[in-house]
Amino acid sequence: MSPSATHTHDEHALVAHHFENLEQQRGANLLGMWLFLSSEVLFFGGIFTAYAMMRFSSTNNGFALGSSQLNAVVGGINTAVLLTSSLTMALAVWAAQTKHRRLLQLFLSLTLAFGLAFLVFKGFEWYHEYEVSLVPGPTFGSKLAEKGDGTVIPAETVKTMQMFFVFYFSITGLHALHMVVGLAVLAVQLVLCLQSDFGVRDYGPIEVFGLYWHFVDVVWIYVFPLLYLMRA
Amino acid sequence: MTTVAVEPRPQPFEPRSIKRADYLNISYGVRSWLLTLDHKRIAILYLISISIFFFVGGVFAAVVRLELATPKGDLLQSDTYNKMFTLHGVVMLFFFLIPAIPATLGNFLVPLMIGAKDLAFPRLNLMSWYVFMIAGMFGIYTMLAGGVDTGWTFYTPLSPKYANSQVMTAALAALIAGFSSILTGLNFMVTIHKMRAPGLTWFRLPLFVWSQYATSLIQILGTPVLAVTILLVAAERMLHIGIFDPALGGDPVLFQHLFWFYSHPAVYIMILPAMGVISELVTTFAKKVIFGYSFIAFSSVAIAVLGFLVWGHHMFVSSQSPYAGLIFSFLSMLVAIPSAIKVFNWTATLWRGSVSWDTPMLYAFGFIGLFTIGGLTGLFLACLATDVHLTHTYFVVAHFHYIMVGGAIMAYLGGLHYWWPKITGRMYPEFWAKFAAIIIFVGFNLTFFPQFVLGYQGMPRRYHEYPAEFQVLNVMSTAGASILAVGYIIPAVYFIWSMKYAKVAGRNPWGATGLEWSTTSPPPADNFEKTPIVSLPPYIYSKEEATVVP
Repeated sequence: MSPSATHTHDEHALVAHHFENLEQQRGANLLGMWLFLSSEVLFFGGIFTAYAMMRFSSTNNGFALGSSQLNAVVGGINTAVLLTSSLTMALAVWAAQTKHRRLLQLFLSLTLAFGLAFLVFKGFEWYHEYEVSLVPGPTFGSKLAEKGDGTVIPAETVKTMQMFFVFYFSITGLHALHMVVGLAVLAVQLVLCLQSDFGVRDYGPIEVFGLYWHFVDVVWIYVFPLLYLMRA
Repeated sequence: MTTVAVEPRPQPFEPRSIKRADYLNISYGVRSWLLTLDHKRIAILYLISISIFFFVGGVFAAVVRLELATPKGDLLQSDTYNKMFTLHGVVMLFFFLIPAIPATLGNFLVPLMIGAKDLAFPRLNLMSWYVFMIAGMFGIYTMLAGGVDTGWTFYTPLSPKYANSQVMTAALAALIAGFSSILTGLNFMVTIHKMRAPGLTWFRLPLFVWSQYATSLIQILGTPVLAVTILLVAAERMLHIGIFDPALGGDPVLFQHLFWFYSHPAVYIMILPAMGVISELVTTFAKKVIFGYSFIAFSSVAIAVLGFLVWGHHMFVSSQSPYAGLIFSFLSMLVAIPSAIKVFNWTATLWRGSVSWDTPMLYAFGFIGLFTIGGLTGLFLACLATDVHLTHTYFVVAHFHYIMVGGAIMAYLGGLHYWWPKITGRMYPEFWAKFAAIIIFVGFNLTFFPQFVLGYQGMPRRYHEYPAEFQVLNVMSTAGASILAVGYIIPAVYFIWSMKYAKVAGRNPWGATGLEWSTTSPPPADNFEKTPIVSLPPYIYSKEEATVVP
């Protein structure tokens, strides 16, 4: 690349001293995020692999029964909420690139709202599961009989169901943690956008964050069928 | 031999009287170091930290060897002995070997070698050091609070259920150190992709950079699997729920799969950068273009990729299916091919070269021999039938110490000597350096070669007592370890001494090629006075080579 050929005076203030130009800086930031996300794929991949192995090596239908305890309707609504937040995030990146400051503020706010809504739904789900004794531990499954049609689930199957819920809480917990981190960054970016021309001056940071947000969404696309839909 | 012969080098020594601003003297004070964004200073921060951990890990090793000097368990209880070898492993692997070359030499050299002002993400680079230090605090807390006794592998169900030691903090230390390693790898990869100087195409990159690139691949893709595995172990230990405990319907072998999916490639995190260093040393001190550049470059990538497919060879005696074992055995043999390619290419580079015997080259020779022994004995262990006899014996211990100490640490020390003039602007004392290199080579072989024999004869690892018939070889090993310790202390002393008192080095004391030698020693904060433009492949030492090489 030719040094300073693409340098305009405006650009100069945006480029960190160790980069030649804005293009190089943007490219580096984007590649950095892609590599981070590939690392994240392996992070979730580890636990998905463990889930697959335990599910297929189990000798009873505890996993499917466990899945049946989850509320697929709430999960489905949450999936829609999260997908919509990805749409608004994509629109936010577009607004930043085309320098529509008001629209950028609007779309970031919407993304934030949808993200928070997802976590609220998730929180209610977790609370419900706690109430009906589905949290793994000594009291796991103590209230299962009240709910069912009177058939007693064998102890071995309850143990496998508990295994399912270990995975359920680990995976949704890790996913929610990624949501919380994402929302924190999003909130900071939104505040900066409200206060200054952050985002429209250089769309790089919005674009890089957008990648992360879509990734968290994509993870959920795998989590939802694995946990909610493979039921008895 | 008290005076060191000063051979005429291509570049004359520069007088120190003209005081230039370099990265060391551009600012002073603790703040200017702890908040620095300069990759060179961060490399120094890492260098200091990992050196401390190296000596801590060395003390644990010394205690282990001292106990094994006699057949009876007379110095330590078995519990304490378990803690000693566990702490030795945890400290040496997670806090020394994994960061050793990438975080110090790599951090210092990657931007210099590609003609960049810094790594792509200087803040992330500093953050990775702080993350590493937080992990170090967990590690130190583990030691002070009573240690950990599970072995560095944290096997289940011992680690989450039965061990009464500081498993949690030790595992967290490994987890957090892993994040620092991911950040370093990510930073290098982006830097190598995006920050190369004009004209520096992929096949003009120094081989050290290729090896760092391959290492980064493993750091980015392997480490997160360890992270999630440790989280699951932590959940199991704290909440008594889990997926690894058979009593809860879990599977302990699943842990081994997940653990080795990272920890076998992690071996290549330690050895690949070492191979990169050796490629640089061999060509500089043979004054000759490297033989088979692209083969060495691609063999690094091949090792990184194949390394992900061989983890099952740690589990031949577990409940893993024998058919899986067969495939893992075959794939493990395959890794030997790119490793052998490198060894043959280094040797071919020496042929008709004008080889000089400076200290870094002594380490390079040491590396080539010891790595070959370590690598070939690895084939014994990759072979299903022999592994059943040799696994969990001292043969394994000897094998991986030949790779880790004989390979990685030899190359690390060779690299440290080679680039010391660039890092500090001063030479090291050649006589003492040669002396230490020879001591280390002798001490190393005396320590670990007997362990091959011990293992072959059936002495199991990780016991503090052993039958009297094994004593002679064990005494040899302990004697070797004390020699090795002396060999490691000498460089620590003269490196510190040299920073103030040794001869000023000048830009290029070795007459080497490579962009890092074209700038001043120590380099200025921005590395180069102006961005270099590259028009030749690396390692061109003569006019003929410039025309032969594409």
